[in-house]
Amino acid sequence: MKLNPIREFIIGSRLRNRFALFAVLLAVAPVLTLGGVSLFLIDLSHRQDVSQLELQLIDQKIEEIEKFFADTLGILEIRVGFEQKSEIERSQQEFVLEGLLAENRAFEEVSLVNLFGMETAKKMRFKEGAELLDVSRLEFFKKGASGSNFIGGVYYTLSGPMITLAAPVRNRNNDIIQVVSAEVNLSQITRVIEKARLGTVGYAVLVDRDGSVVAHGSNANVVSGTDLVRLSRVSAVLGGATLDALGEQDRYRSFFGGIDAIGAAKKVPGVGWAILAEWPINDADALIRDIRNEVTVLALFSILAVLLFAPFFAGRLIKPIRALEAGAREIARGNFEKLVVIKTGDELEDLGSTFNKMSKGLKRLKELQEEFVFIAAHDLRAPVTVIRGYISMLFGEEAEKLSPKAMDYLTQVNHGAERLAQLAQDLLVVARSEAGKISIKVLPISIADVIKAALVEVEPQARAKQIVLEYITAQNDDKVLADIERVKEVMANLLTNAVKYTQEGGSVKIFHETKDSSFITHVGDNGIGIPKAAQTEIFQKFYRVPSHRAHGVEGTGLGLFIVKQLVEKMGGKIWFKSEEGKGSTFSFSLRIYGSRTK
Amino acid sequence: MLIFASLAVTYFFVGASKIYMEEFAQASAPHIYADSEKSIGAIKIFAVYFVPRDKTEFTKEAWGKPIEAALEDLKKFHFLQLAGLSDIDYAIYPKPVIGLKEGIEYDTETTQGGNPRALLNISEELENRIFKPDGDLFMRAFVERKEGEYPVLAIIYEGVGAMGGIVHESELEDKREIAKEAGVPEELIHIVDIKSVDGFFLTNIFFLENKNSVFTHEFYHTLGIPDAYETPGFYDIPLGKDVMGAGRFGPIEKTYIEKNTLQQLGI
Repeated sequence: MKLNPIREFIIGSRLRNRFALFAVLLAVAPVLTLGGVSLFLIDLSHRQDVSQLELQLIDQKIEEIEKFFADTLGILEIRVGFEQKSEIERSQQEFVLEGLLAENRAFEEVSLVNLFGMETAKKMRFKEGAELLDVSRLEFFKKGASGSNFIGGVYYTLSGPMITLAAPVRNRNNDIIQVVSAEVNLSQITRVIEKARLGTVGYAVLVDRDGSVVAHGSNANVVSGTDLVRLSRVSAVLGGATLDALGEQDRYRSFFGGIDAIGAAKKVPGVGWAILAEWPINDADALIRDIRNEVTVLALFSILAVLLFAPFFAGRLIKPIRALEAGAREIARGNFEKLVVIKTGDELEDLGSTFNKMSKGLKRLKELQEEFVFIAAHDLRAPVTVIRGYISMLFGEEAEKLSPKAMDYLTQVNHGAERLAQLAQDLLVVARSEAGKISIKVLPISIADVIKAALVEVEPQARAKQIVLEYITAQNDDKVLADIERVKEVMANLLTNAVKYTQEGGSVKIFHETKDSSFITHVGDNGIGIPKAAQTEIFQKFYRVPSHRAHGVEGTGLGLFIVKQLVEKMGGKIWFKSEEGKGSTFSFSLRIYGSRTK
Repeated sequence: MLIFASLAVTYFFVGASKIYMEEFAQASAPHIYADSEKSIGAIKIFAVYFVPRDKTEFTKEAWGKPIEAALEDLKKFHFLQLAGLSDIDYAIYPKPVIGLKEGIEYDTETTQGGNPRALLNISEELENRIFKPDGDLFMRAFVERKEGEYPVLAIIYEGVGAMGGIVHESELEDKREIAKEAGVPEELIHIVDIKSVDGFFLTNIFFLENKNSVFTHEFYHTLGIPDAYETPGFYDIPLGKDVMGAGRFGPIEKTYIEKNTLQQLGI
């Protein structure tokens, strides 16, 4: 079956496909392995880098928050220059508060409270004439009056997140004489958080100690004061844990915009707030993504390239092997002339040369064999003819002088000489045939005459075995194209075989058939037949059916081989049908004279 | 196949992130103070500038501007404090409502405690005149509100007072029994015949024109939030610094609502 070249290229041969697969594996495996390992290692190191960057950002923001509180709370820690355990003079209190407002822009309201909890002075940055209140019940006063600094919880105003700070006012003897409090705007801190960036879109989030959002740099619409304490990572950080972006849960779906992010978080010491750094994975892992894509593209490209080119290269590797295979097939057919041409410049070319030498050697061997057979057969004929001549003379004129015993011996010798002569004749025919020296003179002949002549020759043998020879001549008078002598040889061979392999009292029947342009002659017998296993070998040179040999039937094993050669050289065909124990029918066809061949 | 499997493993697993998913529990809509039955996810304020008939000469010419400014500020403040979980819509009655009575008749003999009598009397009058379809000042466009909105009446009074509260429906008629039922002191219970709103408050227009948060403070009473100060004597003693305590004296931009209070609102 002839395959389409493209299909043939795709399907290929087993060996070529193995070579191709091997090439694919060889090309892609290192890319994949190296790519995978590099990716893994780069990812490992990248995760560490991301974690470090996030923690650095958080630490930096914590530092800024701590500085903010140092600056604000530090200013509030007022120590007056007198020793009396009395409040600052009222006239001075306004002055002190104005100083505080001027000192730090984050202060929006400052007040001084006496130790009874009554505000004695109050200044607001954006409003004149603040009302003085009794703040004795408020926490900041209690703390301050007890000598501690107070940092309140963050509260959320339209001006931004704010916080209440308070501290005791002390005299030179360190006695508490008043409490100073301030409402502090945290805009400075929120700006710091909102501006914090990781990569291009990573951001920071500040939550107060209750878990509410103070500020964030995300684009998500999350308002200040949104409660995040229900998020496990926020509650964990407020509880004191540090999340380093390397944990199993540090890559998560963020509350801020629902994006996947890598997060680290730390608690701000002192105030109890927490800072979260979140870096959207898309941005943070851009490097890893690029490497992964490159590895994939490279591997795919390698696979495609190798799949495309490997069959070509594998095909080139296979070509010399194919040539050797074809050469071997020709040798098997007996053709030693065809040389194998391999020009690869490597061991395969050497193999091709050796193969050709082997072919030449085999050719020479065959020639020697044929020469030997020819010479042997030819040289055997002369002494055999002499032997047969003298025996013939002995059987003729001198027969009466010979004793019966000598006659018996001579009969055996004569029989042996005849067999030898037949063998020599057969070998000669075979040798001539193989040497192409058989001459065939194809002429229109009447095959019936040839058959009748052949029947005359085998009749004595048939009669001896009481075998009936029956010839049914053809109804028409067709002439066939054949060499009359060769047809005679063919018929003699087939009839001899038929008589030889038919038991006593059997029959041999010759009949014809015309089919298209062929004239077919059948030689059928009801003899011992040919076993099925031997039927494929029957036309082989020197082949003899083992069971026939066992029956003691003599033969050279060359008869049918010669018959086949002769029939085919005359342009015909030969075949047979046989059943062991029932007989055989050998048939050969010859071209009818005057017919047109197809 | 092996190559493609390796490629897939490399692509999808090596260096790929495993994402931890945490369910964000959706915050429920806030409700009035300590009562989760009454939602305040959406609030509608009906604002009316009310002038007793004997005080028409004091009617402000640009009365609408401070009311609108105060309501806008309140809207922003409320959205921020309730973390975006509650929103305020408002409607301002397009003209001053001139009372059918004189100021003294609304205020009665005492205006102490924020002038509760004025709030009750004016509310009942507005119920009949503005909210009832047969009222002489009824305007459908004004009284309309969306389903689920918590209705609040804001009276900007050309008179004294600052007072607000929730309108509770009760079958009882006795103040003592109602106080017992509501779990509040008897002096905080007033009987009023109003059906159109669930909360109402009154402030002098003066409080809108000065930098204080009394308007806001009184509004939050309509959500049931109590005062964060005590008045044992002449002076108030604040219990907190937010808008329900000391913060009401400061500008709205600087005040806030305490977290404890927000928790009681379901935030």
